[in-house]
Amino acid sequence: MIVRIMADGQYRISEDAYHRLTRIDDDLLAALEADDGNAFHHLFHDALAVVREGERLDEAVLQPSDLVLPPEDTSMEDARRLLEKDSF
Amino acid sequence: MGLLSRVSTIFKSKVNTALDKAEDPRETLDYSYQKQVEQLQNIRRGVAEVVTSKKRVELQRDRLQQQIQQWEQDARDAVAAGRDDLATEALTRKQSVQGQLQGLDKQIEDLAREEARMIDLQQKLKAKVEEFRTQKEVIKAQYSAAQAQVRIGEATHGLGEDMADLHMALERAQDKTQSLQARASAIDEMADSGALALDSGGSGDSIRDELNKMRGNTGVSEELARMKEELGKGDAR
Repeated sequence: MIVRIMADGQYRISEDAYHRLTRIDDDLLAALEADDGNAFHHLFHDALAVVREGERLDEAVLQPSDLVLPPEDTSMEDARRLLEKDSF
Repeated sequence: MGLLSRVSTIFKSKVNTALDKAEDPRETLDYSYQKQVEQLQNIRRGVAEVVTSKKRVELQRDRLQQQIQQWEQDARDAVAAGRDDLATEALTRKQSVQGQLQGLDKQIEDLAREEARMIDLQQKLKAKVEEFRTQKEVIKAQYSAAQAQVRIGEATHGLGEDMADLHMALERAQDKTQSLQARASAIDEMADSGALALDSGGSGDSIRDELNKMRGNTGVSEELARMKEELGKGDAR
């Protein structure tokens, strides 16, 4: 699985790591819906840590990603805006 | 579907719409490369504009810092001339601008970080476009149309992601620069018109305003006393 962290780069992660990431992903959405900024912050950093356990792809690799994470300094408000239509 | 999967889907659909759907990929490879080079140039221009705007804000900040020094000097002159009322006015304005500048400094620092990140991404993207150029020659020479379709699809999507990533970083930086510039100009104008008294920037909360004003006044009288002492005009308060 290839995962991109925006403004950082791409990483190749294991199936196991991908499953862990998916679980965190569901909790992240729950935190956002519950408007729990603190939980969001911790979960998002857990997600980044899981991705960074993987192998960083060489700069020259041109491969699409299976999953894209927003930049590491993304706040809950930023994330909410990302989900809004036409925010990209 | 979780949050990250949703963000990914939106991001990828953006990349998809940005990419041209090729009929015969080998024929459009050169055109696609050409487009990427153009996009890279646009992004480079955008980054340069952000850097220029940030410099402009820094100049405005420097000008305000000079004004602070000027008011400090004015206050000293007023104290020397025995005009405490004028000195108080000058010190009040000085402290007010100082307060506004503190926030501005932090924003400029934030922007400098964004700028560094953008320049880093831009370097990487340049390397990737170069890599794409090499790969397209290999693909054209070595692969059948069907294989080429897959390889080209992957390469263009990979590169498209990088383009979109940098593009968004640029937009974030542009937004920040604009609000920073608006703020610096507003402070600049207020300072110019002399309207920048402590109670001019009300927070909309009267108690908070009173407290700020009180704190400001305390600061001003303390500074005035210090100044008088330095000038040998202390009046044993």
